[in-house]
Amino acid sequence: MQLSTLVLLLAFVALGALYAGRQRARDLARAAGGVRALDSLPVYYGLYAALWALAPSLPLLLAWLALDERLLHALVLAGLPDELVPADAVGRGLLIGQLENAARGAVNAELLHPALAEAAGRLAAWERLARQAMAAVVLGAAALGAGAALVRLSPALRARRAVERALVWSLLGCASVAVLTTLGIVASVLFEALRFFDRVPFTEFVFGLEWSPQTAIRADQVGASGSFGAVPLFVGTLLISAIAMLVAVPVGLLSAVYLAEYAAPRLRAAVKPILEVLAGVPTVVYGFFAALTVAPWLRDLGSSLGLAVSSESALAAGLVMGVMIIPFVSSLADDVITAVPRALRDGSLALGATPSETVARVVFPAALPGIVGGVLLAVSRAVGETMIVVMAAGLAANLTLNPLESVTTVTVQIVTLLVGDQEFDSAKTLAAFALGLMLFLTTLVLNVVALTVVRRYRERYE
Amino acid sequence: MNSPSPVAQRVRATLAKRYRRERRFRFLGLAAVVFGVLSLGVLFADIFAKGIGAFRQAYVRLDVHYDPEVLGLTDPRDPQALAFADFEGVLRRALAERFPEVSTRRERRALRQLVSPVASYLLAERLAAEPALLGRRETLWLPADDDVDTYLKLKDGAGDFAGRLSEGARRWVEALAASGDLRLRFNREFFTRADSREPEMAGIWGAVKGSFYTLLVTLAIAFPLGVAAALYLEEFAPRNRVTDLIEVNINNLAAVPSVIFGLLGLAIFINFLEVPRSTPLVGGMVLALMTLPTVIIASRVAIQAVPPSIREAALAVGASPVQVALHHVCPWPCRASSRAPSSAWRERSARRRPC
Repeated sequence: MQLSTLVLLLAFVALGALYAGRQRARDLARAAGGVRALDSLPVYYGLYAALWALAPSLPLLLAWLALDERLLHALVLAGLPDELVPADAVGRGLLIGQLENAARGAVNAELLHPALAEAAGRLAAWERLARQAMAAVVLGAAALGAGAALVRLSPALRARRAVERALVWSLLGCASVAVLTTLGIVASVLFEALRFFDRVPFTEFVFGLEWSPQTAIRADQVGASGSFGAVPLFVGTLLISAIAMLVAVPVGLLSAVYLAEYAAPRLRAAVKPILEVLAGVPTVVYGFFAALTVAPWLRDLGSSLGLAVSSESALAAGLVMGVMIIPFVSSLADDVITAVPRALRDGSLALGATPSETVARVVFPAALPGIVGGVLLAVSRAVGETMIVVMAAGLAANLTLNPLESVTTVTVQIVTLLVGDQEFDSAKTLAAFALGLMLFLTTLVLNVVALTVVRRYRERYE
Repeated sequence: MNSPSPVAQRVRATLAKRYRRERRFRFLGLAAVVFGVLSLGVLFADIFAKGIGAFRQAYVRLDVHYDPEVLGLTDPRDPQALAFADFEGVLRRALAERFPEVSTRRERRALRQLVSPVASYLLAERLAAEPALLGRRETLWLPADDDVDTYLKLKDGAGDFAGRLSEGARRWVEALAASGDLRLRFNREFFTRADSREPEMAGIWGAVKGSFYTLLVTLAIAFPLGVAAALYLEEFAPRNRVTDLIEVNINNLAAVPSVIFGLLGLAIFINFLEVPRSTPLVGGMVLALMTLPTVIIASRVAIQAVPPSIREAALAVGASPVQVALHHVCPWPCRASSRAPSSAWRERSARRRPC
């Protein structure tokens, strides 16, 4: 039986339980003298029965799906003579793939070793049996649950409370997906990174000045070892982020101050959405803009001034990234500036300070924690920004602070290491996860600090 | 008549300077705003100017003779025979007829390169669609090679622009253009084809379909999950450690770089759960996890905007908290957005930031 058929049947069983439960509740009500004699509305009794149909069967189905393939493979391998089973996991995986294909009829079984052909036949039979058993067990559990619930229905049963409690728990489950995602990120990045540090020492990764992740296929090739010193990447990332912040922080803060303190309401209403559009432009478009317009323009400008500007200069990527980040800085700064109480401003103005003096000496210091938080969030965005640098920054890891040269960043290297087909046992691929770990930790610290600062600031003025 | 106090004198002496500084600050603020708006304008103008060329494509008009002898084909309904038929020869002959003066082999090869390398497949498709054309002549607009296309699009303005065309090829192109046999036409195929190595054959339809399915998966996962999570956090969550943990996680995830989510998808979905790679399913699932914090934050803002009186009224007539949430709180933002949303609501949802 197909999985989709099974799921559909399960849904039918649940629906049936819903109707049966509602009907039975109505019958009970009629016997007891009207709906008012019931604890809950009849539909809650139906939902109660449907939940009891799904509660045992859905987890069962998921567990079965997660386990049955592995179990079957282990059984089949155990049934083979020892000399046919490879010792390593990769070889076993290949053998299983071969058997699966033979069982499905995609490989001619006569070409295989007779023992293997027999195993393939066994595998096919077991798979068929397992699918039928799964359908029977899951549907049986659903019917059993629904039946038990229907038998238990009585006017005094607090069906609504039970249903509502189940619903709130499932809502909590949805909310915890965020926690699970964080755990998933940590697990996926950490374990692969640890495997990487088995091959390349941690100190070499963090302090090494040479980055050339090309590992050779044969041991005797030139540069066969590859070198994984990530300092050039960190420096490149910081350089591009610093250029971006040099653009975004002054422009973002000044425009936020202007819009909050000087601009007429109509101008503010017109300009704010326009600036927010900058944040909504997909980063690939910025990447195009940086790679095809800004970088050649800077190169031509440089050559007319007698400067050698790389066509993948850090300056081009940083400038465009800065433009992308302007709205983040400006809208966060706008929020905190408008949150500064009116009384502080009025007091300063009443003493004869000009509006700019008020901003510089009163509003800005009062809003400083919030602004710092916003800037930190923007830094975290700049460090993690990927598409712009993939398109506009270079691939070669130069250890330089010259913004006119080409540098590479952590995110660019993650992308280039992982694009295409990869094997998961080479240091080259695993290096991407080590870089991901560093990136995640950096942005995590920045985010947590920034969010705490912003939250504390907001509480101060509320 | 008393003279101004010393303080007033000092104030008056520095007043002009302070006003100047005030004007300068104001000007700087305005300049920052103008810079932001201008960047947006330049970005849009640049992308538009660079992208507009893709909507037009150079086509060559050729008189094609589906000669059975050149093709080596007797029955165009036989796909096997059609696949081996010499459409390249038909194409070369049509070009030779158009330029009878071309004689050497090298020149003929250069001449062939005026038309897209895949033009012969287009001829095959044409004959497969209309087998009756075998042995007859037909005038066709065939896509020109991308070098010709680039030359045609860029030659105006820049005097003796040659692109990647040789001297002879340019002469032929000019001759074709002069007789009206080479023209830039609206590139309709751009919207119906998938990506290709040949620029003149490339289209966006494949990418559009991929994006559509991926976003469908994302929406199907992220929207219900996000609204449910927001509902829990706003309506049911007790103030305790677990809730705090969830909130910190959501706010942090909203600022985690997207590459990290890619690594998560690679390690968990593809390597561990063995979801087939490069499918809309796995991309959509990763994107759903990535957009989930944003959906949750926006939904929470929308739920916060529901007036407390709605909740209180529902509770007062005996609804349970779950009923209040599902029957009264949840539908409110939907209805509010279909009416004209209040400006406060619009302002709050437009901010889209962790809170």
